[in-house]
Amino acid sequence: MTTATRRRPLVAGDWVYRPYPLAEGTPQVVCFPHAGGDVTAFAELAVALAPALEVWAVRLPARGGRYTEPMPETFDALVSEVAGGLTPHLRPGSLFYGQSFGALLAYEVARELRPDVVVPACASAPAAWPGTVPATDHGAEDLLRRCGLDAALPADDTIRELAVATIRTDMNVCRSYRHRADSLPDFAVHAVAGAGDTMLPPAEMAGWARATTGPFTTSVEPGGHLLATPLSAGPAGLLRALHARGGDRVHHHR
Amino acid sequence: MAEKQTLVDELGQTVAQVWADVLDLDQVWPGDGFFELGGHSLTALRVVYRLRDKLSVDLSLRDLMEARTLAEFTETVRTAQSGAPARPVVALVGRRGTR
Repeated sequence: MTTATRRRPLVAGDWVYRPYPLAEGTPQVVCFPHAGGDVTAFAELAVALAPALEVWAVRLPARGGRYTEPMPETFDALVSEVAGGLTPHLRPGSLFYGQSFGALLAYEVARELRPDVVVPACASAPAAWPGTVPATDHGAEDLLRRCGLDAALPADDTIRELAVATIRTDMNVCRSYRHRADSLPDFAVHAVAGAGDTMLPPAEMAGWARATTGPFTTSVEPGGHLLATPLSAGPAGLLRALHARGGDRVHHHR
Repeated sequence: MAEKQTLVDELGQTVAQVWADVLDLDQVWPGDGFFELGGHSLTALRVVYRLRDKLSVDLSLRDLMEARTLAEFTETVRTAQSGAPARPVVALVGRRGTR
């Protein structure tokens, strides 16, 4: 083998995974996976962000290393469990990134934990979620196809069934989501659209402006519905720029 | 039982080598979890296929998903090796019981 061996990841409790551990005190980008996704979606992103920023990925139940653990019954319960799992590891000044389903989860967990910046990617704004999650078995198969995972997965029944089952689990928990429009947060939101996203029209991202009373910006990045995957780093340059901008803002205000 | 964690026999070494190769790591330990080391379902499938080829043993993707550690998975492989005649090679698992 000619390539250097990979860096060993670290797991911190049930809920947190560090794909590419960096020095203590490195600014954190907390990453929330898409429906059916796992922490490995952010392995390449973690390498691309090093050494300036470290990825801390949220490990959800019912997949990967937590395959045998059940998903909480409701979205609210999931949010409080994720928040509880992150709290011991979270430092001030962090940035949250979530794609698709993970964008909604990142936003709601951020309402509890108040990071500086939240970056939702390729997802409808929170107010638009209730009532729009597909309700049938076909929804999961369809999602698999439209996420571009259909072509990426080998023609193996088991792996496809597992992927669809995980997507279904995540869509089920999404179905209990209710948006609270009162007491909106004031963290900065930067909404990202994928240039080649066939699931969500980029214009949808504008709705995120009404999810915060803080600064709102938006941009379109190369990629499809899932910007970060086990094979592509995703919006590393954007996240670096947003982190630098957040630091500036804090600096100016103090 | 504690000895099993440290005393790794030939089968244990074979399984560990496959994990290390597929995960691109220098070294894996009996207490390691496959997904905690950066594995995902595609790499898990690669482990299963390689071990089926190497050992002519009937393993499913779910066998790896359900094993929490390398040591546990090695025991799953051992049981499969010494178990009843292998099921048809094409079926990784049955189509039922996936939800």
